[in-house]
Amino acid sequence: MLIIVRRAGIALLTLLIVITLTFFLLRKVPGDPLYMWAMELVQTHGLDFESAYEQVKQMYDYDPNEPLGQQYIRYIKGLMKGNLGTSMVYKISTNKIIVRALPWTVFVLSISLLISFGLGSLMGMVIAWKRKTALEPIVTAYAAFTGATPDYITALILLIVFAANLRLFPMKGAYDSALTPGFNWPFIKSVLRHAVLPITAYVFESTAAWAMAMKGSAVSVLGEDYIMAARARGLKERRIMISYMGRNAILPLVTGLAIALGTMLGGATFIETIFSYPGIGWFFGQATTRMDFGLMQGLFLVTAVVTIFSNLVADILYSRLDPRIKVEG
Amino acid sequence: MSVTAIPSRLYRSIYEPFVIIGRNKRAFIGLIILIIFALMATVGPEVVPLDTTQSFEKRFQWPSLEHPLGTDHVGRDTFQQIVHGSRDVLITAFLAAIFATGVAVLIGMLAGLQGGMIDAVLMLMTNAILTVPSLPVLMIVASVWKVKDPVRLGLLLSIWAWGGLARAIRSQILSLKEREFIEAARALGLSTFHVVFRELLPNVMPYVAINFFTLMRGAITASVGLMFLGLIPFKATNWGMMLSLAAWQTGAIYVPKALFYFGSPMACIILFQLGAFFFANGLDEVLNPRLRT
Amino acid sequence: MIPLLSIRDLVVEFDLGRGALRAVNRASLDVQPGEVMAVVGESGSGKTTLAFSILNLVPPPGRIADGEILFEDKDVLFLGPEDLRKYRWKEVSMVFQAAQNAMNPVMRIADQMVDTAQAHGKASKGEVLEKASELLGMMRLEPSQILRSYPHELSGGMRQRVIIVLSLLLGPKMLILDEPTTALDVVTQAYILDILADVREKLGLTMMLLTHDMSIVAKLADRVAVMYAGRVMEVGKIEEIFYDAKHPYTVGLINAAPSLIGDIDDKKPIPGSPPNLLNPPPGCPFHPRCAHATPRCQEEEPELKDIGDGRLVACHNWWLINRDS
Repeated sequence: MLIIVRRAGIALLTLLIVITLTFFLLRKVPGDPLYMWAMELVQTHGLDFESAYEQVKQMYDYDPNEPLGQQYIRYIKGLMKGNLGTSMVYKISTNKIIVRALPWTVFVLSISLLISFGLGSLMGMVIAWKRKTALEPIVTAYAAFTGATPDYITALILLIVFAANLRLFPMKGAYDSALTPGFNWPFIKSVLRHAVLPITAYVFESTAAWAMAMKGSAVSVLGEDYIMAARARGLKERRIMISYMGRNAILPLVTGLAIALGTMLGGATFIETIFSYPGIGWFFGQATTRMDFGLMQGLFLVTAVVTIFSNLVADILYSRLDPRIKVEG
Repeated sequence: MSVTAIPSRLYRSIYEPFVIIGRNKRAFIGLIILIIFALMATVGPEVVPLDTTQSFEKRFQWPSLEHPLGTDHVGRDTFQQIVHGSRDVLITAFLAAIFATGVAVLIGMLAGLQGGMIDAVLMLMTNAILTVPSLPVLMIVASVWKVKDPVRLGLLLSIWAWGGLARAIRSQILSLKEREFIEAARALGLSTFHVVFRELLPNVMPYVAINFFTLMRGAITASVGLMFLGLIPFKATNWGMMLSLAAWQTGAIYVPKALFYFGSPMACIILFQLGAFFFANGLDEVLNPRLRT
Repeated sequence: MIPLLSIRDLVVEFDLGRGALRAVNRASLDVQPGEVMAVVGESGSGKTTLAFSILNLVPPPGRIADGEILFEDKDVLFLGPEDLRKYRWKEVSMVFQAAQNAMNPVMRIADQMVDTAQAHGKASKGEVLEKASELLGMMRLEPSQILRSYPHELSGGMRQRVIIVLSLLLGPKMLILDEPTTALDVVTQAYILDILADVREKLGLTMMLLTHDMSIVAKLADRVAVMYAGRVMEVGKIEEIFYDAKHPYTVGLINAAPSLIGDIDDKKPIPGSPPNLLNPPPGCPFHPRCAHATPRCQEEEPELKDIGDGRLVACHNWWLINRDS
């Protein structure tokens, strides 16, 4: 129990470091970021500069003249209340944007993760079990290729081939904007159609990595005595592969899965941007290119929290799953 | 080790690595690829001209004798752009790897040698680096700090990249510390300086060398990605910029004829990554004799 | 009597890059139904490989190169995969050396018992667990607690006993035990031996006991086979081996084993070291270390001869050998 508390403590400290770093980073921007936003207000709403500046100051909750320490404290207090800031581009609170964007990200990425993990583990298991098979060089080559190709290139190729040129799948968005959201079939169909390419891009890119990881784990498990003992007991090959090798080999990967689940909440920025898919990653990309500091900070915080938290969970999960390991410091 | 007429020390340090790389076909190909790119980056821009005249009727042409990789959206030669862009791309990657390695070695050794409070603090930082994904951080920094040249870009990319290597170096130092030859050196009264540079560093070097290529690969992926998102406005010949333009601005993706325009930077990136990967694996074999088949 | 198991001229080779290592070199052995046959030899003598061969389980890079293994008159080495799977454990089962790791770490004991039984035919979970509980009781273990535990939750001695239960679960005709008591403390050793003697009596099992420890042999065995360098050197009834050994190596083994009575200084280890199995010396493999070696021993390999009443020896000069040589 004490160990969990200690790990949680480290996680919290890490989070604090990250929060502080981003805070000071965004406050130390050369030039005055508010100026730009104030000017925009002047142009779009016809306000005079003074009032525009005041309004921006309120939205971003940022007074350049206030001492930094005080700003920091106010920021932390705001965080505790769940105030993640306001988006300067969209003019609504970050929380509202998250509520809108999160479902899409979770939808696409959880399906992608499950498929790539499942497929990959299966492939890795089979390759490790059957020692000489035609499948192995193919998978190894596939792994080398996807390892070398950044995910945005894969996504781009898919976009170009299937969407732009073959017109099989749509180019952008989560669903056809002409439709009304709801539990009607045209909407659901549209959602599925729009999700195919992003999911394919992710799955294609990550499956190989899971396969190689599983293969490595399985090969070392195969060297253990109990595999041979199981054979001596006359157990069927398939049973040994799945329940004796597979169940043991997958343990280290579960940690990776938990972490991947957490990281995914940061949104796969590249994939979402390329397919203009309105998830957290897309919004984050927009925030950075359009210098929307409020949104940037809020979304990044969410990403950091979720990632740090999922690492913690992964640690604890692993020790629970493997009956052999007692949680050690 | 085989018996040869060449003096053994010379053999080991110069001749043997090449033999090992030569035997490993993939590592050898990797080396060739890296050499080609190195040449492209250093000599290329001197040898290959860059013709920036825009000519609309020449846009998106297929490869021909005159334009080996076709033309871009305003009729400029793709091949020339690739060659000229390679210099910035590779310099950035190289610098990023150097900076990251420097920081990692410093932190790793400090943490490993000092222990105690310093170790705890440094490891907390390293842990933060490793847990939080680097891409969002880089995106934020790029948006806040306008980066205009390869040196600054290299610095930017190294910020969140040193974690893994630092942790590995620290473990290595910790295990080396226990071994007798350090104690022996200390007992002989050799200064800390000596211990660090003559005993510890050489043992850490193999890992650093291999990791260097991994860092370069990561830097290229990251820099191209950031450019692709539009966060780093660089010259249009940079591979990342070529991709970005192709995807967002020029409508190149709709034109099948533009295949070579957006395909070339993609291919170059993939090839470089593969080359570095295979060569690093070969290097691993050279430096870790246990891995040799 | 027709032997239960009959090994004839078995050859097992391990293919290492620089040559083939003969772990078992034309070994022959018969085991009669209902008896306990001890196979004695140093490590590297080939006894474990011999045991694996009986289950046709020699791990690569090893392979059975020649010979036959007849179990109830069927050659095990020619069984098809399905028949082999059915034969394993149901007819012959084995308790491996260092059996602590012979169980799947992520499955409960009960599930592993059920797995084993169900791989050999339809049996309900209840039936299997009932049988397992009975056997566990015989092992002087508490069934309900053991069955729901994971392997690592049990001590080494307990795991050893669970492994023995697993091996008896399907009621095999023969049980092979490879060093069943090494890696256990002396007290647990005695305990296990007691249990084995018990089990043997109650179930009428045929047992093949592999060991280098002569004291275990004394306690359990009916007959003894002595192996050296992958060959069977001598076979005989236990009293014959202990009091009237006819092979120099056997004599050496008996004399080297420490006992509670007598001076340890009287004990003599066998001079020399085990043979190089990659490049064995010509002739009898024991001749470099043998006090009775003659020129013939250096050239001609001795055959395993029947010298009367089921007594087998592989030595050119066997009639010269007695306890005090």
